[in-house]
Parts: sequence; C-alpha cells; structure tokens
Amino acid sequence: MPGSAPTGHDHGEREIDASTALLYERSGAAAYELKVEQFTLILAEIQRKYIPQASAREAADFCSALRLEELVLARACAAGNERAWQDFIARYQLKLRSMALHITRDAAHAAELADSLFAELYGLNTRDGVRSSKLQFYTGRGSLEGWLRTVMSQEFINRYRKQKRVVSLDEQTEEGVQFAAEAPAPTPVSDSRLVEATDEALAELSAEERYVLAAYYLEGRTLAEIARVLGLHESSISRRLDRVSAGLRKRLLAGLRQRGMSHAQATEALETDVRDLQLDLRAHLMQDSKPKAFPGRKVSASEAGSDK
Amino acid sequence: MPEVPKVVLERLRTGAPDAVHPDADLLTAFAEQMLSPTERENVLQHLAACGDCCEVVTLALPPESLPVPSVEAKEAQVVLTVKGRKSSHWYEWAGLRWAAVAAGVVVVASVLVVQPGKQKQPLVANENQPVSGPAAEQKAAIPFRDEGTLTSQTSPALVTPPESRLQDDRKLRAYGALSKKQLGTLPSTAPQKPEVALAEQDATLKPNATPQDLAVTGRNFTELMALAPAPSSTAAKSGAVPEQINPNVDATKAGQSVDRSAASSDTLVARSAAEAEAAPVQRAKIPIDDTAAKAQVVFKAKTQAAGAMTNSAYDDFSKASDGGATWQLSQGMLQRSLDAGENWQTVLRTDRPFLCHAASGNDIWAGGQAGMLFHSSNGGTTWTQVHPAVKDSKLTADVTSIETGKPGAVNVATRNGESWTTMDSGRTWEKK
Repeated sequence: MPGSAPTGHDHGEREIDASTALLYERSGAAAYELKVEQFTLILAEIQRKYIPQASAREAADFCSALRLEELVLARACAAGNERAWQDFIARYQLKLRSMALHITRDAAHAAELADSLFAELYGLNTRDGVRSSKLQFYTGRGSLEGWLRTVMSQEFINRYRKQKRVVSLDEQTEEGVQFAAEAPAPTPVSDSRLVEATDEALAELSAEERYVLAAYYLEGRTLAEIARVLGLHESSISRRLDRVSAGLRKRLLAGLRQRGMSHAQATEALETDVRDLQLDLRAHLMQDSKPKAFPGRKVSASEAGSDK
Repeated sequence: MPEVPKVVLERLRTGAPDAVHPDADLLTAFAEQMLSPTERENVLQHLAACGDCCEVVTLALPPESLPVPSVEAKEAQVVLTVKGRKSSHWYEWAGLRWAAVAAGVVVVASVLVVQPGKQKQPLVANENQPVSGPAAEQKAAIPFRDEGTLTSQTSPALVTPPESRLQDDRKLRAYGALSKKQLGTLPSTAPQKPEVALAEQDATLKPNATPQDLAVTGRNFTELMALAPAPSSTAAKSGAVPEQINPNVDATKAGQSVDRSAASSDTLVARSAAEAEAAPVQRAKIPIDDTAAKAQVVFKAKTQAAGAMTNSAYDDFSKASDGGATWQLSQGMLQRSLDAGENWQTVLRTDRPFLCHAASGNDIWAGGQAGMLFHSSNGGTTWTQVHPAVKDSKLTADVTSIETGKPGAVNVATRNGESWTTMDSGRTWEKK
C-alpha cells in the first residue's frame, strides 16, 4: 500500500483507494507523468496537514473539494516535469507579472518581485542536489492563482517591512514625521476597570466581528476590501460595524457599572476616549500598529509551506 | 462610521497573534470562501490580531477588486496629449483656444445658473467660441477674434459683439448668401431669391446710414462694405462688383484662403467679415465634428500604436482578447484597454457592481450582482443586458463566474451554486 491512508481501518483504506482512483483520473495527473502512488502520497500528506483526525468520509469529501487539477500541475512542476512547466508558464507567467504590478504599484519593483518569485517557484535553490520548488507547498485548498497572489503578497510584505526598518531620516521627515519615533509607550489607561470591561466585551465578539473592527479601524482597510475578503456585500460590513460598535458600547457601560462605576462615570470614561479617538487612531496607524504588529517575526512565504 | 472607544482599539491588538501564521494555502482558501467553519474561525481570529496577515489577504485579493490607480487621470492625460499634438501641428495657439473654450463653458454655465431665463445669448456665445478654433484651423477662414482686430483698423465703430451678430440665424443666412454673391467668392452658389431680395431692399433703404447705425448688426456692416465701392445695389446684383473692388477676390475664389498680410484693404475687411459671418452657418458645425472625429481617430491610432509597441509584459487579466483589447473589472466597472493595460477606459458602468467577466474574441460577457448579465458581440462597442430564464425560474443570484467555450457557448455560475448555460450567445438558456 503506497499511501498511508489517514485511517487505519481496512474498510476506510479501500474506500479511499476507490475514490482516489477517481480523483486521480479527474486531476489529469497522468498527463504530467504523475503516478497514482505519488498522487495518493500527496493527498495523504495534505490530509495529515489539515484534517489529521478526520474520518474516511470527511477525508473523501475534503479531497474532492481540492483543486486537483491545479494541485497536480503544481506538484508536477515541483517534480521537474517539463510539460507541466510549459503549462505553468503559459498559464501563469504573465499573470505573475500583472499580479506583481498590482501589489507593488510600481513597474520596477513589480519586475523584481515577479522574477524572484518565479525563481523560487522554479526552484533555483538546490538542497542536497535536489531542486526545491516552492510549488511543492501548494495544497490545492484554494486556487493556484490565488495562492500565487498570496505568496507574492507575503513576499512583498516581508520586503516592505525590511525596507521600513532601514528607512532613512530624510524619508521620515518627508513623510511628516519630524523625529524618529521612539516606540510610543502604550497610552496608559488609568482605570484598570475600563481595561477589564473592554477585554470582557471584546471576548464576547465573534472572530469575524473582531476582524472587521481591527481591519477597519486599525489597518485602515476600506469597507469594500473587507467585504471582498469576507465574501459579503459592502453594506453588510457597514451595518455590522454599526451594530458591533453600538453593542460594544452597551456592554462596556454594563461592565463598568458592574465594576462599581455610576452610569455617569462610566459614560464619561467612554466619552473621554471617543473625543481623542481620531487623533490617536491616526497616530496608531502611522507609527504604532504596523511595526508593532509583528515584532521581529518574519512572515516568509517559504514558511507558508513549512508550517506543517 | 460609528466611533469606537479608544480603549477598545487598544485592547484589540493586545493579545499576541498566534505563533504560527496561517499558510498561504489557508489564506487563499479563506479569501476564496473555501474553508470549513472551524478553519475559517481560526483564520479570522488570527487576522483580527495580525496586521501583516490582514494586509496579505487584502493585497492578494483578485485584481478586479483593487482600484486601478488613476485610470481616469491617465485617460485625461492621453486625450490632452492628443489634442495638444494635433493642435500644435495645426495652430500653435491651440492651447489658448481650448482654454478659451473651457472658459466659455464656465461662463455659460455660470450665466445659466444665475440667469436661467436668459438662455439664448449665452448659448450663442458658447457656439461662437469653438467656431473660432476648429473652423479656422480647418478652413483657414479668419476667426471672429481676428476679424475684430482687422475691422478695428478700418472702422472701430463697426466692431460688434458676437451675440448681436448671431442673434438671428435666418438673417445670417441671407447675409451670407448676399455677401457671397456681391463679392463673388462663391460664384457657383445660387442665392435664394427672396432672401437676397430682402437684403438688397435693406441695402437700398439705408444708403446713408451712419457707421453707428450700421454697427448695430453685422448685417449692416456687410452692406456698408458692399456699398462702399459701388453704392448702387444693382451693381452688386450684376456681379460686376468683384472686379471693381479688388483683384484679391480672385485669390479667394481660387484658394478660399485668406492672406492676413494683405489685410490692409477695405475690401479684404469686407470679405473676411462676410466670410466670417458665413462661416458659422455654413462651416462651423461640420468642422467641429470633423475635428472631433479626427482627434478621435488620432487617439485610436495612438493607443493602438502604443499597444503594438508595448510588449505584452504587463497585460493580462485577459481572459481573452483577439481584437487587441484587454478587459478588467475595477471597482465594479468593466474597463477595456486597447494598449495592453497601459490605459483603461470604463466601457460599462451600472448602478450595481460587476463581479466577473469573460472575453472570447469580440464576445464579451460581464456579470454582476442580482443576476445582472451583459453581453457585447462587437468588442464592447454596444451592450445588451441578457436576462437568462427558463420556464420556472430566472437568473437573479449574483453572477460570480463566466466561462466561454466554443463560439456562442457560455457558462454562468452564481453565488448560490446555479449554473446557466447557453449555446447560442444567450438567446436560449439551460439551468442546472
């Protein structure tokens, strides 16, 4: 049995095998000289990564939802199949360039970014004599094109961060920052009750609501962008922001009163903050939040695959 | 947007993001709405805490969702360049002329706003300005502005404001015809009898009018000049006037061009004035259209040339393009580029955003929210809205993907999983 199927039961293994054969056919892997055994190994590896505990049925569903055709293309490229490479280049080379242009908004940087990613995809770095292509980390969960865009964006953010760190004083002055900003101390929040109540209220929000808040207020994303990311309409994001901020306020007031504040005190504690919100938010966005978001941690596209 | 207490924003990012970032596959699948609810929740939790991943996800959105920078500005620039080139070729004051046109439009607009009741004069004034530009360039007729200068050399009192000159179209026609007959500039023109008669009658009625009287309308001006060398209107009628006036007229006859250096003679002033008056009626409209058309041709030629020169390096988004056009969606509008992505023009804009498009040769399809589907079979020149329907249902869901296959074959997928197929460019549909 070439593949280590995710379940130990014989019955499960047979079922996977039957469906794997179907998937193999669907993926068109044979065209790239990818054997059933290799294909099964790849699927097993992907399952181990994402659904280690899944039942045979779930695993079968999971596999059939993968972008098999693109997965096979990527893995065949990584394995050095000539025809796969030709197909990949025909389909994605121009796209890579236009993606890079969209991400960097600058022709020179775009060319650099696209070229370096292309080199990584081709696998110029050899490890023990074996070419290691970044494409072998693609798992077919999303489209290959989307994956390429994401990998490129990660690479771009990495470079951008690196450059930010060595930004010159001149540039800072140009940007309107007169002095190199010392790491701004987190604004001391005088009342610990406020902090507690806030944490409590935030914990009650769903992850999506927290994401919308953070993306809109901290990252400065537009409603349209957030809507695209979540697959919703812009207006529903706007309504959600309204609802979340109103709810937060209510919960905060309740929390503060639970902690012994009078209604007037609690209202004042929040009002005070709201008044200088604009200023602080701007400061936050300009200096504070971005570099602080990931101190010292590099989001490397290569890690994307190695985080297994 | 509602305000959120500062403390909330502070605390939002206090929890350190997970040690491990979601990998590119997960982020992609997340943005493509392909994750299981649990996975999605995990990714969202990470995104809420991690600014970098948040940015990666946004950056990696498909191109059509990202605004293309200053497409309109670029377009405007190109148009300006074209105009600039063309004009400088024809006439170096063109910049000023266009500025004058713009100023005229502004003036007219403001007059219209302030005095909505008095629309006629401003409109006429507006008509004047473009005439002085393209008409002059095209036909080398003396524009109004120059006419003013020329006539002022001879008889300042005769300079009349353009409004009064153009107040009555019908009259003008009569004068144009009359003056032409008198001066012999257009010998083949057979003037309409009643009008000429009317004008001649006028001329005979006012043989002794003072210049001030004559200055009231341009028509009197013409008469004066016509009468000056040969006071009898019969002379004009007989056609003997041209020879009597000045041999210059023959030059005009031949070339229809005005030599401004010869502007010293009264006759020329008369002729140029007459021509200038005839110009707005007979030539103005055509030359303007003509110039516009030419400009457009130049523009097209230029963009096509640019397309040919630009290597296909940064084109793309192209689901297909045979006619040299590239298509993309930007902010929900469908845009076309004829030069491999250098410049984009919005060709289709509706009140609801488009979500996807497909092009196959000259067949372009664009789909958007709530079942909106448009088709162009001529490379985007004209569009028809298509309403796919089968017996018991219509296409009303968001159109999220369009695929074209063989000529006429189109497959449309919607957000709620419907699939609509046509094999005859949208005349009949099949729903799955």
